[in-house]
Amino acid sequence: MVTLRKIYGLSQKETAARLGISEPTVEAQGAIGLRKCIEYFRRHGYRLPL
Amino acid sequence: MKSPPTAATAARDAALLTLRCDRGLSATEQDELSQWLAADPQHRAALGEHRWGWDELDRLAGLQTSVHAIPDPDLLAPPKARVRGVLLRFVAPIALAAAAVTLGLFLWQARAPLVPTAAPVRSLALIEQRELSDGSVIELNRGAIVTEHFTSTERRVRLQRGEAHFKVAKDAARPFFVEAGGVAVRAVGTAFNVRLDSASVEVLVTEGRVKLETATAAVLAPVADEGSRPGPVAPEPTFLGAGERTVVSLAPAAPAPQVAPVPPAEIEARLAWQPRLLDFTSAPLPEIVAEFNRRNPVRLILGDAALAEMRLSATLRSDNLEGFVRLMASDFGLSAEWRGDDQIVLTRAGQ
Repeated sequence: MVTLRKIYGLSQKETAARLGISEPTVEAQGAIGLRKCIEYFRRHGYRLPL
Repeated sequence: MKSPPTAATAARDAALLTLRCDRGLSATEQDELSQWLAADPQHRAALGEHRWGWDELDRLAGLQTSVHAIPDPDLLAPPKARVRGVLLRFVAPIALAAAAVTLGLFLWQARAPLVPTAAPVRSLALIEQRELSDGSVIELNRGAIVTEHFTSTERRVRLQRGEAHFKVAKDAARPFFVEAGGVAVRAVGTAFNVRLDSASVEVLVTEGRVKLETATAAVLAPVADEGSRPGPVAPEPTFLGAGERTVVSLAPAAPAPQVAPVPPAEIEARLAWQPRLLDFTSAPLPEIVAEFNRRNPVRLILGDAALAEMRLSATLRSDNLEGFVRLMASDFGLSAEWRGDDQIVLTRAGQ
């Protein structure tokens, strides 16, 4: 999900079409992926610059 | 250490809302977002962090091998276990690689690494070109978001964030509008640049003529004929011709926007974020480096006087600084090293 959205710059709709899943599913999976990345950033001390 | 459940829930909500904001919210969702933000002061910070994280992932665009590559959802999956479920686990290491590069911890290899995870993934400028159904072309600067709302009578595009350049296909029957922060730019067939900041909207016309309308009354004054100065008149539209620029403040009682001509050299500088295909034929390396430096926020530095003698022929996108540096490493044996946050020093490997 994140690969298609961020590396290839596909939109949510295009990602859904390519993976053969619904748009809400893409959204939910993207949110899970983002969540994990944020946790990973945090664990490694990479955070939002103030 | 485990976060309290409320923080975990807030983070989950924030992640989902970030994805929704990215694709554009419906009116109902907009209300829900406002309510969610008001429900807990922590929510705003959580959303801020997730939106930032989502934008940071734009850096991954550097992993794309070519603009014309066919999207491979398993690009980051391990070679053998190519299953979708595994994908997410492997996004994190890439993200770390991105983080490492940003922090300046990443040392370049003399040879181009074979695995994409090891490649420098700092996206120096992610610029996207999108063609609309009517043939108009939008160049989106890094992080910009536009949404398309076309009907049979009008073509409306909303710039929700960032900066974009619009080349509008001629269609007199269906005017083309760009909306940004309550300002509407109307065009029939022309080219112009719109940049939305938190406090203002900047419009620069490169071809033809556009009409500017603002939602806030008493902001605008007409420029009916050349040379007349804007005065405090009712919400009359402003017209901008080619080579003219204006900045509309989004403040409630802002003064009328001034339309000013922009010299050609400055127009070029302002639009330098747009990618261009750079074609070099046996060009000296310093010249190529200067061209990239003019168009990118990161500076390339030749750390070795002998490099000034090098000449090469190549065709590169002006925003593909990363590809250029990788080429220099893999085919010419140069080594590249980040200096601070925004400089790359090229030297002959092994010195």
